[in-house]
Amino acid sequence: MMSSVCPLAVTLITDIRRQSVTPAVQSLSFRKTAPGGHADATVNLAIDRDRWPDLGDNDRLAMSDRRTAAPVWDGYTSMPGTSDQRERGQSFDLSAKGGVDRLLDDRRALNYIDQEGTNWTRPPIPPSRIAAWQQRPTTTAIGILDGFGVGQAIATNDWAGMDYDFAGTDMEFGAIGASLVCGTTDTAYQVFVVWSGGSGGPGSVGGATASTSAVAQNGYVNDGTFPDLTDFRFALYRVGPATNITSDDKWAHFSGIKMLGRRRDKFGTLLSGSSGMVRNTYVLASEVVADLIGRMLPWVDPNTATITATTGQIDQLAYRDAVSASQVLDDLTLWEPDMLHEVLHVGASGKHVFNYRHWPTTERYVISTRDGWTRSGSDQGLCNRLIVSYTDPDGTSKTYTATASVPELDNVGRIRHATGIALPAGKGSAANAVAVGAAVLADINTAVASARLVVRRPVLDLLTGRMVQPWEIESGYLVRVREPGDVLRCTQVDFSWARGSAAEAVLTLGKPVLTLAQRIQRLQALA
Amino acid sequence: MGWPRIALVASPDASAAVLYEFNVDLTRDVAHAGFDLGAPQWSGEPGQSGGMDGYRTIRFTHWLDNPAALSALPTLGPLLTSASGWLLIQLRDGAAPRWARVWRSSPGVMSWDRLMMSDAMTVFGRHGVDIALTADPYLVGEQLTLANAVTVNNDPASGTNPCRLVLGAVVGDAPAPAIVTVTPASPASAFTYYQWLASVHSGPTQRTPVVWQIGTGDGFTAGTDTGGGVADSTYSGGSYRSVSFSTVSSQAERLSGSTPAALVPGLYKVLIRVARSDTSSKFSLAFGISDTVTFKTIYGATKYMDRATTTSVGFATWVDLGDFQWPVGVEIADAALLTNTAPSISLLGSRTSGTGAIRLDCLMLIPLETVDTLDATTLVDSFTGGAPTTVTWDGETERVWGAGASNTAALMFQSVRGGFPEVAPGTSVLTLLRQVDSGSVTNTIDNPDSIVSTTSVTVKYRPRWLWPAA
Repeated sequence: MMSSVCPLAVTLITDIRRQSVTPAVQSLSFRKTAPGGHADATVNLAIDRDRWPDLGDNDRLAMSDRRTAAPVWDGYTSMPGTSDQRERGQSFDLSAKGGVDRLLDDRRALNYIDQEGTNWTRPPIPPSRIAAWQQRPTTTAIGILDGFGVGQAIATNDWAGMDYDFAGTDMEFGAIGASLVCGTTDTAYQVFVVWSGGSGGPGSVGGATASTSAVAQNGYVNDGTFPDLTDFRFALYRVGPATNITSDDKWAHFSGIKMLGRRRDKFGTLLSGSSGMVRNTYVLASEVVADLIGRMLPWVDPNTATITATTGQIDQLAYRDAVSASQVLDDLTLWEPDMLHEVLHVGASGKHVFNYRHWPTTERYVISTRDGWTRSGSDQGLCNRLIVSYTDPDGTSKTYTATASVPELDNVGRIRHATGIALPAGKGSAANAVAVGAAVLADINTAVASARLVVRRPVLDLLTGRMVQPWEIESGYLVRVREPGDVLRCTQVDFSWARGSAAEAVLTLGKPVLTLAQRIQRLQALA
Repeated sequence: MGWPRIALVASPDASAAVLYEFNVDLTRDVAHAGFDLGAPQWSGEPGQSGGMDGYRTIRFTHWLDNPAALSALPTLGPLLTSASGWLLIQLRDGAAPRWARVWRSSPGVMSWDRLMMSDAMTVFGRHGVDIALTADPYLVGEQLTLANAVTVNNDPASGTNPCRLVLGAVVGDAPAPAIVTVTPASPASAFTYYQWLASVHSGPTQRTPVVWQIGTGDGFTAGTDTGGGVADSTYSGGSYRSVSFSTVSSQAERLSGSTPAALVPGLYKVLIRVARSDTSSKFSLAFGISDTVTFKTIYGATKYMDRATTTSVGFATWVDLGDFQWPVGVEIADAALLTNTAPSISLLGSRTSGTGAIRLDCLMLIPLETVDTLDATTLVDSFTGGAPTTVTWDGETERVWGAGASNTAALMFQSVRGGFPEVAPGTSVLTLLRQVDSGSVTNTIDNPDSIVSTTSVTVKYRPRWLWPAA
């Protein structure tokens, strides 16, 4: 292949033209991350800026392999500056951001699954009615209490209830799961679900007589009972004649509430019924990713998007403030730290390829250290004590001291505390403190694996079975470094080439330590 | 005019206007002492990727008699200060001319040490003007035609030029960009929404793409929901296999088995020609190749065939299944240790939407790097409208030109991916496919890839040389 031009073919696509600029490339660099995908790039072009008046913000920069025509990096330009070096002629630096940047574009308020009471509100009812959350009328779990207090005079069709409103978010009602128990078994009182805000207008379904036996409340959008709706109300109605309340048992208690927003599939189609929503007790990260694609990532190709099914049960994921897809994907790592998302090149459809997949467990690249290798040591000293503080479910502050056996310290009788940690609100328990304390201490005492590997020559790719050039190395896979024998995750690839020097890819390798929140989530999933 | 001929000319053609002749006669010539054509400077360390040839520097001293020839200097000055130009170098009468593309560089000094003054106060003598020109790494020769309006057939089973053209002997010291012009026989639909693939691979000996037919008597083993050969003259080889997806529509093995012939070890681009039995189904495919040493099948990425709904059934297209090296991890240097054997292949497929069947027609393997090919370049050009009758992929300028019925050329603006065509010394083979991964979901125009289509192809190039011709 001709060796007097850049090894990558570079094309610029503006509103009015698409043209190869490969002969003018003086230098280029790009970055790929995992999770993430094609992150950013810079190209220095020796062409007259004035010949490209149409080149501006958000035009496309595409790099491909000259031998195979395979796409290497795709992205969108930022406003290019100009440098003028009179001896060598005009050239300018063009910087671009890859598809990863587009995950930040759109923001929506998303409500996937919500079991917190803060989003239930009291509707317009007389102040004497009972409608409150975080109530525990008996020894049952905390939930919403709707009822009539002693001494109230009530008429037929008087009611007390609480509302959950999806309006203001980007979603509507998807599914509900709750357990209902009433203070009394009495045919004069019935439990109703009342709704509004859907295509069919306001409506209700009722007829369940108040009973002291626990009854499951399950429902899905468009399941034959519940239509599409945005405002959902659990209410207790007096269906009998007018009366005075004389006993303190005229209430309905809804506990274990899980309110799910209506998801879309990756094509954007709204899901319906129990077959579409699948269940009302938790959502999966893979279902959330499919919804993100169908809902707010129209520039991702749903036909080629690969989403691997996950298993972590997410029982709380609600954003009342608008959030970007990037933020949601980051938060999903709480439940699925071994999954990654990647936004890759633009395909034939004009949309980006997107994957949500596992970090592999077998190595893909086998690379020697001959072009450069640095492995960092750990700057955190050894510790054999760690204080974990938490608030238990009754609200009492507690601490627990975790102990680890570290021969280097124990043999000389030295006790050394690491910086204490606190369990997040809602996750405090003695069992969690013990488990998290042990795990965090173990991490502190293990050297963090992080390294930097330079690649300037073809390397073996076990996934495709061939030798690949430095610019063909993909982030998001495992690398075996031949001489030391380490097998590490490649979280970032920084490729650069300039006239007069070799092509070089610098790989950032390592396995990040789990954050505290991820660790707790993992423990709960295993329990 | 003296020899060797060193001159600045308007363009690298024998008929170009001469802008300045350096070596004319005894009053105006080029000194042989210190004459240096330079050489391309290689950057990058041995074995590393992405090294490149740097510029060469051409140096000589141009002597001019004062006053006889000095008056020519005003002609030379503007040429040396212009951005670029062409320097003709021809060693003797009858040798082939070669040209160096020269770029603006620092003008040299003029020597004054041979000036004298006569008794009559007349200044006479000789000035030497040092010329130092930065030039492209290689000299170019006259444009040569490798193929002139040769017909390429769109059927990989054709007896003549089946989807490819052997370009014959390419001369030169280094790979050179090629100018490929294609004129399809049915121009009205040949470019609208088509995605062409033009791949050129070169080497010391000819190696043409490998074609493995799928259909009656192909020797492969049918997988889940795959039928036997179905005769149909509109498919290459006269038959195809149909995969109905009637029991399993998710990804499963649909075809496997040993290939019909041994495969020379190396890197290949694998494409499959497929069609569908209805107007709207969509499919995905993944290809795997394995050998009897590792017993491991290496699968490529899943490729999608998600064409929009069309009005006509069939819609044949090539699908690029990826690039595969066989056997695993082999490099050119290892090839001498290997004997050619027949690999086993595995084709996975799924139907992502619809109820139709996919028809498997044939597999094609384009050599990108084998023991007898050097490197290859592959260009994929996606057309989304416009109706040229002729398209030229110009590797010299990396432009795509289209010409209409009246032959007025216009710069085409469409997405190109990959390297523009290049030829390397030895034999080159151009593989041309007109419908590869045509999957624009916004396009509903029917443009079937017919195996009876033909394309007229012309290939030209300017050889690249290290030294002038003898």
